[in-house]
Formats: sequence, structure tokens, C-alpha cells
Amino acid sequence: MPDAPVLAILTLSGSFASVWEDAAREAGASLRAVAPDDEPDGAVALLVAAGGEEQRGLDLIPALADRWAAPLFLVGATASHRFAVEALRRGAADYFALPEDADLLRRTLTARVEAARTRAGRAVPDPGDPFAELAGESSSLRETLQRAQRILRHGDVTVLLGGETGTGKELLARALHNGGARRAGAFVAVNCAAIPGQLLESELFGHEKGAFTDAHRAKRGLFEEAHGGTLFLDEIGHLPLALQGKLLRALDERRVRPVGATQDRAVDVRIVAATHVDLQTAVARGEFREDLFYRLNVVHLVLPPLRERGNDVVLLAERFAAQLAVRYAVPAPRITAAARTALLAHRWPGNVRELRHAIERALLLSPSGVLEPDELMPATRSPAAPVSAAGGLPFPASLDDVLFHAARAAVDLNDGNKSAAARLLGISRARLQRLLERRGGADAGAD
Amino acid sequence: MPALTDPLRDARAAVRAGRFQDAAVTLAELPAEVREGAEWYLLSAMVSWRLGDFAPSRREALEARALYRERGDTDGEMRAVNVAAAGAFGLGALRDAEEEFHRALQLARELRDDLMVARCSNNLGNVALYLAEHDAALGFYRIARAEFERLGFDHGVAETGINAAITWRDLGRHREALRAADEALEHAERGRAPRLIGEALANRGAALAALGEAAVGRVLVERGLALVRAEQDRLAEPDVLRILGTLALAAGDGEAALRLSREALALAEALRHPWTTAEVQRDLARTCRALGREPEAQAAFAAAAAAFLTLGSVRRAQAMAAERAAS
Repeated sequence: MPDAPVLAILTLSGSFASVWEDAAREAGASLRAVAPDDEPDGAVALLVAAGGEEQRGLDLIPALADRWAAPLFLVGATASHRFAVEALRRGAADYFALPEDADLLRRTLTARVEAARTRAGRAVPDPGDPFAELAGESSSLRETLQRAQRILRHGDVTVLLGGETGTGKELLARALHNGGARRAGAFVAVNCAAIPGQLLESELFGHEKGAFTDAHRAKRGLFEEAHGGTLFLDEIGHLPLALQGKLLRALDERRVRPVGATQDRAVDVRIVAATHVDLQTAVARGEFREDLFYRLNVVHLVLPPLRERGNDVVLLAERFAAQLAVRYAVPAPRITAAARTALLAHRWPGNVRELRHAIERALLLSPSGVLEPDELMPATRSPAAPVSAAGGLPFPASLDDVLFHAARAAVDLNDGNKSAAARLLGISRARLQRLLERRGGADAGAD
Repeated sequence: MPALTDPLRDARAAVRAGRFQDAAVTLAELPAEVREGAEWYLLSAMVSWRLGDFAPSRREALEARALYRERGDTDGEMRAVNVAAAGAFGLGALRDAEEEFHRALQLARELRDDLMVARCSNNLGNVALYLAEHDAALGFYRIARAEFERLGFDHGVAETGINAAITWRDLGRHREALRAADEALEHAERGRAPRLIGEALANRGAALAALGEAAVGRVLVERGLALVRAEQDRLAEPDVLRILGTLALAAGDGEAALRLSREALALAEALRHPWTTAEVQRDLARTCRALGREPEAQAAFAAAAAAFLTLGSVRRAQAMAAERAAS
């Protein structure tokens, strides 16, 4: 029988010890006091920083979250939403303000210990490189993936993924799941735009028998199905306003109530959400709740569009050509220089997905062993736009677009070295960073 | 002490290798005392189902269920209920199938048998699809897919993806259908399952053709057809032929569409599979109408409506009746 999971406690100050002592007893976990320099291998780590030590607790989080394998919970006495978000951004798995959150903390610890015990009983395959499917060498993609890699250490942090259609948001969400501590749990994906609004509540939270006309049986919702794993909410911007409040409650309290039920059910789910629209604009228009936006936007990762990934388009085209040649048992084709130029010039509104289809079409319909521009581009003809060195600046473009593309091109030209890029443009590094972030390319400090 | 051997070992090996006919012969040749056991009934039910013999499959599965219950083997009971439900499904008794799949799902959750949870969810999705309850079907496929994926069961992910693609196509949501078929194809390849690769290719082809990529779509469906034929997949072949027929019709080749639909119908009727028959009759009816063969179209629409009604799929039967009347 495996050893009882360990609840590691680092106490800076404060009391309330009965809360985690009760939780440990209920969950059958052993308690272990640790120091900042220790490296506990427990199921859950608790950093207790009540009684005026909250700031010190916050400051300690990044280093501890990087070194400690267990998800780290911060406990304080400051009941502030902003403080909680800051703790999550620095790498805490969650923040609890005592005494208000005592019950929630007890439930969460119990659920985590149980989940750790379940995971310990399962053989979890080595995920290898979880990001292997997101191939590319452009600095814009590498930056995003490097930040994603760092997030893996932060365990349960909520992530909001941005990027145009076809850039690989679901692949990235899967990579975050498969490379993280929850990989033994389920990855449940749901596209909020693909489900009629009136059904989405029952789909997410489940329903009781007789809750509505067609509810002949009770049904578990996706939150419960994802218990111990990850729930990927794609196209979160399409979530109806009425449901946004329920989602926020589920995230805050880690409990869901199925439609027609009178009691809540505890869930232990990590959320990764994705959108191709600008949620801040949706917030400004009153279409998306601000509090939910901040709750989801703990770490914001943006996948760059293919047209801004420079030579990646050629690299990917070669990779797809080789893969698809194996699939269809034809010789791997050669991509001519003219075809490469055409690939670089195209705007790829459908991004990587569109490129893959273009290669597949060419391979199936013209299996000559050579891919020329006419074979690659016939069905992807989009209005020919002037193309910049950065890979396709639309015309007319906004000033923001021009500045962003100039900044991105300079970074690409300098192999990702931002200081050199800033010198090239004759601006400060900080100004360059602001230009890059203006298009939503950064979080607020998870790394 | 002599080693204990499983009397069903050779039959199981044949099933694992996909040699269902061999498995049936091996099972029939086993001694009478083995053929009275729950395990024999269950394995035989699975083999019969794979061979398209749904009525014997259901009888054997119900026998296995009774024997497992008798000895208090909940795990065996769960597996037998699942196969019995699949038999009901094959016979077109959708409400029985739904009831029994739900029972199997409940047992699977109690036993924490995640693979069976996935299988039952996938099967419940199929029942919902047949009943034209698309949202419910997609919900079940979502759960099944997540469970199969967590367990690293590529065949299951592929199968669920194919089912989701069919559902999206039925809704006219071809982009979603394409994505589902894309994922199905990747997992089918990873799982080295030619039968599933064939079906995934056919569904990708159908989606691409609907999105305006007719030539690529046709090539993919033809490749899919070649694969399911090579695999002697009796269930998939008429379905892929039917898809190819709809593509031919869309491309303006009415005669080819008619020929393919009739070929599909002959296979579906030989299989006595009501769902496939209903779908083939529906597409044949549309083809006949497009070619100005109205009497044949009327007959095919009526046959499709009757087949859907046999399945308990009232919505689909009503839709056929409405389409028939809209001449």
C-alpha cells in the first residue's frame, strides 16, 4: 500500500492550525512542517502567511513554486480579490483568506490529497516533450512555449490562451495538461461556441433527473468528468453572461451545482480557457464579466499567427509534406524555391491548419514529387496583400499594427535578442517590450 | 501441478487479431461444459456482434448476464449488459439499447472501470445520434473521448472522433466535422488501425467535399473505401459507398451516384442493419429525385422512413416523410 500523502506546511505566521490538521485527518494525510530551503515531496504544500506576513508570503512564492513539486497554496488573512490574483500570478495554486475560507480550504486540501492518492495508484506514462507538436523556430513561438514550459511548474495555475483560429490553442492546452501534474486525470475539451446556450449549463454542471423536459436521467457535467484533470473551455468569449457568474462561482469555490440539484458537489479541476477574440474589449462592451476575466487571465499565453512566424511556414510545410507522404504512401515531395516564396508571401488566415490542408491537397492531387506554387496555393487564394519582412502586414494597417510588426520583425532579425532589437529600432528595451505586449503577447508576470 | 489454461485462449487470440470468423469456429468446437459458462457466452456474443449477427449476439449476452448475476460477478454483469445493449442497438431496438447502456455505465462508474465508462458513453452517443438527439450525442462523445485519451486508448479516441464527425456532418457543421475526423485519423494512425483509418479518411473526405474541396474529398473517400474493403469491414463498407455516392451526385455525376447508392443498399440489406439501410435509402431517394426518377425516389423515401421508424427514431422518420411529400 502506498504511503499516506504528505501535507507540507511552511508557517511564516498565524494560527488556524486546526484547519489543516482537520483536513489532514479527514483525508488520511500526514502533516509535515517544512522550512523555505526544504524541498518537500508531498501531495500539497501550504504557505501560511497570515497576521501581517502576506507580502512576505507573496515574495516567497516564485522561488518556492519553481523548486517545489507539490502545488503550493497561500494562506493569509487579506480578503482581497486583487491579492488573490497576484498570488496566482506568482505561481500559487490558490489563495485562501482565513477565517472566511476555512471550509473551502479544508475541502480543497481533502480533494487534493485524494487526487494525489488516486494518481499514485495509476501508471502515468512519461509525456516526453509535451510541446513537440507545436513545431517552429520563430522567436515569437519560442517565447510563448518557453513561458508555457515555466507554467508547467506552477501546476494548477489558470491559463487563458489567445491566438487566431488554427494557431494551435487546443494543442497548447493539451500540452499544458500532458506536461503537468494532472496528466493522469482527464483532459476534457468543450467548445463553448458549439453548444446552444440553454444546454451549456447542463453540459458543464450536469443535471438531475427531471430538471427539465428532456432530463429523463441524471447526468454528470463536464466539471465532474474532469475531476482531477483539466477542463479546456474553448471559445470562452461565447459563454452566455448568465453562465459566466456560475463559472466564476465554480472557479472560486471549487464546487458545482447540477441543474435541478439542491446540493453542491466538490470538484478539483484545472481550467485552461481559450479565445480568439479580445476579451478586454468584450468586458468594455459589457459582454464579458470583468471579475471572470481577471479570474481566467492569471496567465495569458498568445500563439502567434503563422504570418508572423517568419520561416516557420517553410519549416512546417516540409514537416507536413514528409508526414503526409508517409500517410498516403507517396514519395516525399520537394518544395521548390518559388513555392517557398509563395508560402512566405501568403497571409494564411487559417494559420497552421490551413497550411496543412494546402500541403495535403497538393500531395493528393499532384503527386509529381515536386510542390510548385500553383499546386500549393489554388484553394488558399486570399487577396494578395503587400507583405513585409515580418511576414504580412495588412494594408491599410493601424498604427498599432505597424509598430507591433516593426518590433516583432526587429526581434526576429536579431534571433530573439530584445536588447539588440531595441538598439536596431533606436528605442529602449522597455519600450520594445511595451510594443510587443500591446498586441496581448504577455501575462502579468507569471514568469 | 499442471498449469491452469484458459479454454478460451485461442478464441480470444483470434478476436484480438480481428479474425472473428476463426474465433466463431474455435468457440463452436469447444467442449459442451465450456460452452455453458458465462465467459463462453460473453465472448461468443462479442464475436457474433462483430460478424453482424446481432440477434444471436444479444441472446448470448443476456445468457451471460444471467450467469454472471447468479454468481454475483458485477464486473462480468457489466460487460455482458454492454454487449447485450450493443446487440439491441444492432437490431434497431434503440430504447432497449439506451436503457442497457445506461445500466452498464452505472455499473462501470460503481466499479471505477474507466474503459467501460468510455465505451458506454460512446455507445450512448451512438444511440442519441440515431434518435437525432445531436447535442446529447456530442456530449457523450466528449466524455468518451476524454476517458479514452486519458487511458491512452487510441482506437477508442479514433472511434469517438469518427462518430463525432458523423454527428457534426448530420448537423451541416462541416468545419467541426473536419476537425473531429482529423483527430480521429491521427489517433487511428497512432493505433495502427486500418479499419478506423479508412473510416476517418472517408469522413474527412466528406467534410472537405462539403467545404468546397470536392476533388480532394473524393480521393480521400476512395482511399477510405479501399481500406475498409481490404479489412472486410462489412459495417463500414456500405456507409463509405453511400458517402462516395453523395459526392458523385454533388459533382454532377448522377449515374455514378445511382450505381454507388444501389451497391451500398445491396450490402446494407445483406447485413440487415436498419440504420445503414435507412441512411442508404435516404441518399438513394435524394439521388433518384435529383435524376428525375420520382417513383423510385418516393419508394426509397418511404423505405427510409420505415427503417428509421423501426429504429424508434421518430424524428428522422418524420423528416423522411416530409422530404418525400416535398416533391
